[in-house]
Amino acid sequence: MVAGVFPLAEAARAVGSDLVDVVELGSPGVAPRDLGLTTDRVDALLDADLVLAVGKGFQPGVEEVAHRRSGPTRLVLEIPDPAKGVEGADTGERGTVEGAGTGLADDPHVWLDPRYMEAIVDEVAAALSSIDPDHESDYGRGARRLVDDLRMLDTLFARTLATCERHTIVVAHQAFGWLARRYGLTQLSLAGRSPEQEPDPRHLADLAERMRSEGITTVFTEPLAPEGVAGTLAREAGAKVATLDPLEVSTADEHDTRAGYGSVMEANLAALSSALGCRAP
Amino acid sequence: MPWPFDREYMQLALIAGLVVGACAPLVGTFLVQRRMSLMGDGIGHLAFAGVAGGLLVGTSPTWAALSVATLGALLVEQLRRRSGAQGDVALAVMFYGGIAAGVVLMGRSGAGSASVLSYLFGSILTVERSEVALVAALGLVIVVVVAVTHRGLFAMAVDEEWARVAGLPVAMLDTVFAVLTAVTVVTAMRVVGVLLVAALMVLPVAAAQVSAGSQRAILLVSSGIGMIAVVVGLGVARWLGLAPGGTIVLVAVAIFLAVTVIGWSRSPRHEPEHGNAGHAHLHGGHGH
Repeated sequence: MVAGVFPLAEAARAVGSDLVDVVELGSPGVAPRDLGLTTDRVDALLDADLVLAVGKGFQPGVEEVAHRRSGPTRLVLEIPDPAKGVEGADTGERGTVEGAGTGLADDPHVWLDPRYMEAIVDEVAAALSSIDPDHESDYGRGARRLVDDLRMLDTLFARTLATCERHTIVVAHQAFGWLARRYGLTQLSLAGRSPEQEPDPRHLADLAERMRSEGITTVFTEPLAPEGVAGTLAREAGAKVATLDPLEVSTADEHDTRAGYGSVMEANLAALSSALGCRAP
Repeated sequence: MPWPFDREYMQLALIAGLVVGACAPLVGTFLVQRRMSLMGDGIGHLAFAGVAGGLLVGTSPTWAALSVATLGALLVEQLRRRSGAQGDVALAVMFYGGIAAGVVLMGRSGAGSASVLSYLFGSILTVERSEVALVAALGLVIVVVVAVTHRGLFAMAVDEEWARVAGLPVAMLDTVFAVLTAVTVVTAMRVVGVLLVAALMVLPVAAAQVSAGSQRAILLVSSGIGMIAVVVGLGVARWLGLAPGGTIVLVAVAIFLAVTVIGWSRSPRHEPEHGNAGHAHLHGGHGH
């Protein structure tokens, strides 16, 4: 099977273990939006037993090819939000997202919410089982193991982030909306939806002002993006720059050390914890 | 069909690529002669502004791109004409004006660059049947327009004053040509990507100019070179797993270099170092 981005490949590897051959389309260190289509990748997409992609134009080329497949394709953004419509569930709607123009509906990074990731894992297990019913119980076992890890991760995030002095994060681009919503954080973003968009000077000044008045200590950038304007904002607001990984792709380092979803998320939590002044449990 | 064109997407890529490879140089021949080789890329930049503007005011981004590109092409033609022979300056205004307007409008509309880019750039590997039909229709229009107007356009490229005195409808031909160029680039870039269209307008023509004699021969030879580049480029890309648009363009560059080197070795009077300077001299002398 073929997966469009790193976290989806992670989910597939965990569910399928050695029964499934997972091809991750991105190369380490290359942002998924910049992914160039080659004939190898088109062949892989067309011939795979299952394709797992993000959807909503996150990787337009990949989705266009996937559209022409005869086999099954799952688009993650078409999986319903697990926090909605569940009776009595903690919807975590305390968090808010502020920034240029776009809201949660435009943020594809659903996998940064471990509960959403759980829904993705279930979907992957269901899809694999319907293709290969003989191994349904294996896929179920793989999924349960990963879901257990995700629950622990979720608990760790919730406990840690409940002890913080501040609840506002400043990020380079709006990639952490789902994470913020889940744990009651407020996301302020420097630019809009795309990492490469240039913020306007007025927004930059407003943001610096707000950071000073609220005592925000950190501007978060992403591993693949250059520091750029985030550095300017940090200097202006007397803050420092730290890294928060939206897990779009494994960086070359992570690839070498085989760091998975869990360890990257734990690193994210550590970064958040020190930026927000949390009393870690 | 045999490998590397054994799969449907490769066949669609081949057909669309062959049409673009055959027809883009027909338009490009006149651009090269006017020293406006970078026009294709310039129109790509204007289309970027057009799409961003279209998203901002809520009209169809495709039509906005087409109208902005056409208006821009006409304007650049006027700029070039009024400010003498400075075609490169007119093009620079177009490039930077287009990209800056695009960036500003995109920031204003709050649309991500991903959504803007998805209107602008196709990949030759994602060509669909309906797009093949669109490209074929475009190719037919180009062939017909060039067949009807090429005498006049060649005459204008050689000596515009003479063309005017001889009673050619210079202004009309200019307009037709500017519109044709804009429509070609904007339509084809959505299907196969701007790099491929813009490069196939120029590189085969540059190669054909080295070898072919008459102007008509340049049209035909460049068309042939364009098609060869597409077939070889797609094959190599499939073979080695490379990005196909870039590979096709690299093949066209290789053909140009090969033809040029063969040209040097055949005419020892034009030594590589002095060849260019000598040419510029000749042209300068001609004009006065």
